[in-house]
Amino acid sequence: MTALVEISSLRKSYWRGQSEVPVLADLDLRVERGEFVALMGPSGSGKSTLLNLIAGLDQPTEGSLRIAGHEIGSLSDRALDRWRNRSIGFVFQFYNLVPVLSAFENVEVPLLLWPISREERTGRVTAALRVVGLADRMEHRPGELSGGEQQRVAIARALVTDPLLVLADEPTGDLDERNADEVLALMRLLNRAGGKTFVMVTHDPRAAAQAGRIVRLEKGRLVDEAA
Amino acid sequence: MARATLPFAYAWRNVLARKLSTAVTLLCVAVSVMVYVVMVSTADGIERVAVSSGDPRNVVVLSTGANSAESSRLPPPSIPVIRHFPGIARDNSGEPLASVELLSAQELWRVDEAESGEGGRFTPIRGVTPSAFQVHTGSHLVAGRLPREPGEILVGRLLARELGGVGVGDSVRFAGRVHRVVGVFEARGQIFESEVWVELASLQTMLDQRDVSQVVIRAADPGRLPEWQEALSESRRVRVDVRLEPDYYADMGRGSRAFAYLGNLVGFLLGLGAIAAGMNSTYAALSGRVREMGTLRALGFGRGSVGAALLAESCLIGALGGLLGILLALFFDGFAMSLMGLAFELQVRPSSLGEGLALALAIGLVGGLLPARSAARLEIVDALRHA
Repeated sequence: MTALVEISSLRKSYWRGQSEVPVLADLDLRVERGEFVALMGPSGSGKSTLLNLIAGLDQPTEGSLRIAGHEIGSLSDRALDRWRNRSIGFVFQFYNLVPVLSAFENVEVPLLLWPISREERTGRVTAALRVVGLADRMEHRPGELSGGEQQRVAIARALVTDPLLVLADEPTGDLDERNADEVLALMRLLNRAGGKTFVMVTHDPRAAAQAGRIVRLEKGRLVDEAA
Repeated sequence: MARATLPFAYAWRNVLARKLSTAVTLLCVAVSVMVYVVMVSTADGIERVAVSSGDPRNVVVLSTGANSAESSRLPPPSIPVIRHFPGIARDNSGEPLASVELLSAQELWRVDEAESGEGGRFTPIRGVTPSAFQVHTGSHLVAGRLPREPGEILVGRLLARELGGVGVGDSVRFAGRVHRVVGVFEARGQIFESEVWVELASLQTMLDQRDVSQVVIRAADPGRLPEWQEALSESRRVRVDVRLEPDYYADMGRGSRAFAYLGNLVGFLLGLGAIAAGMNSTYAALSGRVREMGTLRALGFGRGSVGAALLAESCLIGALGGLLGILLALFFDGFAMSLMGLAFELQVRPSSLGEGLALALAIGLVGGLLPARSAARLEIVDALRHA
């Protein structure tokens, strides 16, 4: 496998008034293509901050963060928007679907920024919804779907651009056990059969157990790795 | 990238999703547009009547220093001098074409209103002789006959309509007594159509006044009107001011411009209220969708795109409010109104509707700018954490 995410000597601090609050310190991490990595750790350990940095939603204070060989910290705001649209798929804890749009339209949103025809867009969206098993519910709005179905729509939205990397922030945090299992099974399938690379933040050991590797963070430092 | 904006359906459905705030804002915009269009159309109506009034061959003779017929008093001895001034056109029987007139504004009621005392309106009462129909070109009876005795009157077509369809045989009350309508006249939409015409002698008796307000005379040679006007003004036998009739009414119409300015001012003030309502509504929409905006940014939409999405919603409400305001304003098209003693038909011009729509779009645009700027400035990480 080749490295998709290469993080070295990464440091991230926030300023609270005059005092610097370190969140991540001297962090090194590699995620290979096709891996499914779970980031675990107590609240405030820096898991979500690390995920935001990998997504290009935030900038590191120091250090290097390369995704597929590109140093993303050097990209302009506009280039970063474009890079994120092309390279990253997001799955959020609360699904973050647009309530006034149907499942189909929600999945279509990232593709609106692509120079492709309506037919091609429709084909991609339909295929993504079929993969997550919601081809028959594509006209439903989020309010008409269960939590598990909404999260599957969100996964379809994350996949529709065929991104390099899918970042999932507590994807089962708002789901009951049965729906959580279905979503995790779907993610595992996409990773194993589809070769998608996943980095997932979770508190849930059952969810983490689905990953190929578990990375533990504590007080902004990597403390343990387990296969 | 293919497009940097979200689809129209996104704006449209978000506007529909917040029904109450959309309805309130839409109503504010609609009322602003309606009031603006109606006021501008009112000013247009007054000006149109004033500009269409007056015959270019006629001059209005007033007492010296009088700006209008209402403040003019010509004593009886001056009347024959004016009527027989050299250069006046004559009718087939050789009589000079001169209309001796007394004008008075009186509070007038329909007889069925008079008992309650409500519904009275100040109406110009013009005491005239039969020559009035010859001098005021285009004025003619469309129903009934000329008054023959005291208490009989003619009403102009617009006034009759404004009084709710008063016609021959009906009665109205003014100057402390009841008057019977014996005829209705038209005057090509001129100012006279908003008046009551009575016999000059009857009005003089009613007002206990021998002086008249003005004499309108026709020049035999309209080509020499300016010299003739000057000669009459400088006559040693009478002390009068002489105005060309179209100029005289056009000056009256200029008062309507103040009304147009007032329309602009009221439209502007109501527009400010609508902007505040729109801004409030759009800010509320933003505060409920901060995480959604953050998600759109995370998915690759730029700062400008999410700002534009909110701005589009605000402009959409503005446009819909504008269309509603225009529809409401169109209800007033052709409405007979009476203002400052002048009856006229309110005609809504397409240009006024266009201005109303532009006002609505401006309200939407200005009301959406600050919330859109706030949306564009959101930091993605903070927005995604928003509850």
